[in-house]
Amino acid sequence: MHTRSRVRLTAGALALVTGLVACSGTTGGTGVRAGDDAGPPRDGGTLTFATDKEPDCYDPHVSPADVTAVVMRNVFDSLVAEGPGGTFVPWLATSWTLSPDGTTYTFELRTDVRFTDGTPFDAEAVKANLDHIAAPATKSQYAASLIGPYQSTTVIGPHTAQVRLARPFAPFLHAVGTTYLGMHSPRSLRTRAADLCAGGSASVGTGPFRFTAHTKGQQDEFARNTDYAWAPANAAHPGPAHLDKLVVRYLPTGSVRVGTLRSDQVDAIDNVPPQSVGVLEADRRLRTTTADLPGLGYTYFLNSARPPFDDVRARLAVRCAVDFKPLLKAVFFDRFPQAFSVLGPSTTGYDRTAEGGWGYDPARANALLDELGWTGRDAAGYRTRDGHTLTVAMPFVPEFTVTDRRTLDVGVQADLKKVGIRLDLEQSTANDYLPRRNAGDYDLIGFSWGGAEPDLLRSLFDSEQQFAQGGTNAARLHDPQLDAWLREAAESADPELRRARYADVQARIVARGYALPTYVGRRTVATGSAVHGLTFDANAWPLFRDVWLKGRG
Amino acid sequence: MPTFAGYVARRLLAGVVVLWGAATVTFVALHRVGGDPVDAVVGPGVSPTPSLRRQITEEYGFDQPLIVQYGRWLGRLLGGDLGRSYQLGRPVSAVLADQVRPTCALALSAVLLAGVLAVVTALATAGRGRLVRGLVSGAELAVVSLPSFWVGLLALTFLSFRWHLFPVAGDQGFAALVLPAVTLALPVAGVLAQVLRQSLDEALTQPFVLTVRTRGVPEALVLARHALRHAAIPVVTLAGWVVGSLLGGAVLIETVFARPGLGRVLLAAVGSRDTPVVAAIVLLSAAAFTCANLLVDLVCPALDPRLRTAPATRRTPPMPVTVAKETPA
Repeated sequence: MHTRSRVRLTAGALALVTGLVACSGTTGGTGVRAGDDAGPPRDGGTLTFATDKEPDCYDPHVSPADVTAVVMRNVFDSLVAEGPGGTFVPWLATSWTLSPDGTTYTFELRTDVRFTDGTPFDAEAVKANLDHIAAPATKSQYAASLIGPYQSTTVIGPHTAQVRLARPFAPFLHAVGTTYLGMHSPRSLRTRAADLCAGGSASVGTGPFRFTAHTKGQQDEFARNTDYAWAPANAAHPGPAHLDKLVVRYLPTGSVRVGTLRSDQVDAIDNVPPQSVGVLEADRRLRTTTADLPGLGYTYFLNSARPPFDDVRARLAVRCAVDFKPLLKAVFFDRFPQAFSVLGPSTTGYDRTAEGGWGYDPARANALLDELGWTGRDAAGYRTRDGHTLTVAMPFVPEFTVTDRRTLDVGVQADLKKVGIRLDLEQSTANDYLPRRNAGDYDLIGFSWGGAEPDLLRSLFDSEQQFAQGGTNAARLHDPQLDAWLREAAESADPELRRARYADVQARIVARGYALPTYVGRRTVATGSAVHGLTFDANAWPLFRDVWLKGRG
Repeated sequence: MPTFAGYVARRLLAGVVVLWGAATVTFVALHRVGGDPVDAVVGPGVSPTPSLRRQITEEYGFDQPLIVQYGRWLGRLLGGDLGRSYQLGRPVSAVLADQVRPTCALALSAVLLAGVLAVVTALATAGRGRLVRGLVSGAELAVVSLPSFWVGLLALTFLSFRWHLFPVAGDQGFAALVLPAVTLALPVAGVLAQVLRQSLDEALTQPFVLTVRTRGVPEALVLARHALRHAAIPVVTLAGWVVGSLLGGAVLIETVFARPGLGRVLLAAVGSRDTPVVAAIVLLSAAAFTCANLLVDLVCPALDPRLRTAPATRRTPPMPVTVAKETPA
């Protein structure tokens, strides 16, 4: 049984906040505890949590959305729970073994678990859920890709399930631990398959809360599952949630979320805008908790399949030309530190040695571009070669991006201009953008990709993961060395080997300039002072299982 | 009155033709924007594998010729089936059913409020001195011109966050309806008041007003009983414009105040290219316009006896003015 050392902090909001931020930086944003010093937890009360985006589809087997995973974590439990650094602890499964060839997982399940509709949780339920994810009719947009080589589940005994994979797949346990592989009641899968996306009473799990009411465009309500006794081994307590009721409200406007918290209309708010963090930290009645987002932060991918970025020198020139420090200060008020690897620090396998390993070097950028023959200058000051201006295009769709990131793009554009590169930020519609992206008709594009498991790098850099194949190889790479490392790491059951390979991969991506990391994204949750016990899991998803309210009934 | 029934029937038939036209234009427009509809179904965050792409194409019939897709869609519409939302994974009718009531509550209270505000300010200021009219007219112009997004945020900041008078909306009873309804009503009231005052002023110069005044009727009654009825017709014919402002305004108001409703669903659906939802809301809006104009045509004869006698040769009310609303960035 794994237990984690708890972070115990003395009173004082400021000390708490700084402690939490530091903690999240080193432990991967996991298990950050707010207010363990507030005395013994008490039961009762309603917590209202306001977040920005509302789930489109409440079935995590279908939806790829982060918010679906956050909200439905309250309803759906998983077989295992992920701790810091890619470790796993028992949850609905008490133990598991991996066959020597790395393709068969055998899960021993708890025998005392029931879904909130009364259906017992057993090996048949595991099989029904995994088969539901893999079935083409489910049209899973994310979960199915998380368990890529899934073949079948065999019911060995009432509480023993064997999962067979087509090939060894090290990220499997991570996938199993996410909400995306959460366990629906088999009865819902059978009788309400068409309603699973709608949420509400169709969403039946074994989780600490039941989904009691859904008002689209406004809020969702969850009531405590009083029978709950099977929290994961890393939870603060195994039994039912402390809260009687959890209300998740959807307030899309950031300043409105901040206003509702400060006027006590909600108890906690998600995704505090960077410009508001300082104000909330200064408010003594409030507490802020921050976790680094694991996965690939906002990153520019340089199209290495066509000029000019088919030459490593052109790519490195871009890397050397951008001065991130002042840009990040201006756009994010210094709330987000500069990223030196494509992976965030809280991702398993993050390579800390990359930090500070590269930076702003305009002289080198200019030397590299001179070397490439871009020595002429046009009237606007951009470099030219044989009468052509050094122009690179970055298409984007406003609806797919965050305003702050567009501001950052404009800053990068200005920095590139200083070394004579003309960056065209081309606003387009989704209809124009997606075919263009899939055909590789761009010089760079930028996006982020969340997830605590470094295997996400495979879908982003493996040569067989081009857009047209359903992958996300945005740099359009065909790098046999990266492929070999990524595939070896994906199949290896040896954590040390995996760690070493992912460090190699991260170093090579930056050294070859395939992608340009920008900043480490963070999730800041702010709560009223009565709220205690809020934690984040390995994916930086806030957990409500252990939350309790002080001085309210 | 057989001619009247026939008139209503003809208007209803015309309404159906308008709806069919709106449906067709919507279908063509949504298919003309290009792009692969499969991308719209899976959303931007995912790049579909070839097999998922095939699965979706077959299930939605995207590989069929456009005319076949149109025929099928129209056939389903006639049967009352609005299709299934790409993003929400639910029947469009179920999605909209939950959203019609909050939007109607917001729109009706806003229109009521706008009507009362407009009538009261117009009655209070018609025929008054230049100073009063100038001030009120300036205020009206201001509420018409201020972006409602900003007015909403300002109202929230002071009335909700600072003074705790009203909750941040949501759809939770009357208190939560006040701020959004006022914010939505203000620009509409501004326009209606301006139009109403102008036609009141015009009515006051008519000979019949002089006749009424010579009978010794107090000025307030002259305005409220005689001139108002005369002046109401131009205002009533603005109904189409009012419906448009309410629908357009609802998109912004519902987002700022985090209210459920059609406007918010439409905004999300347009962003994610959820074609079936967009088409259904366009149809619903067309139906609302049609109904509003039909009502106007029925109310006008009640207000103006001259329109009652000969419906066949009746004067056509002026075309409703359509005013472009700002769209959220």
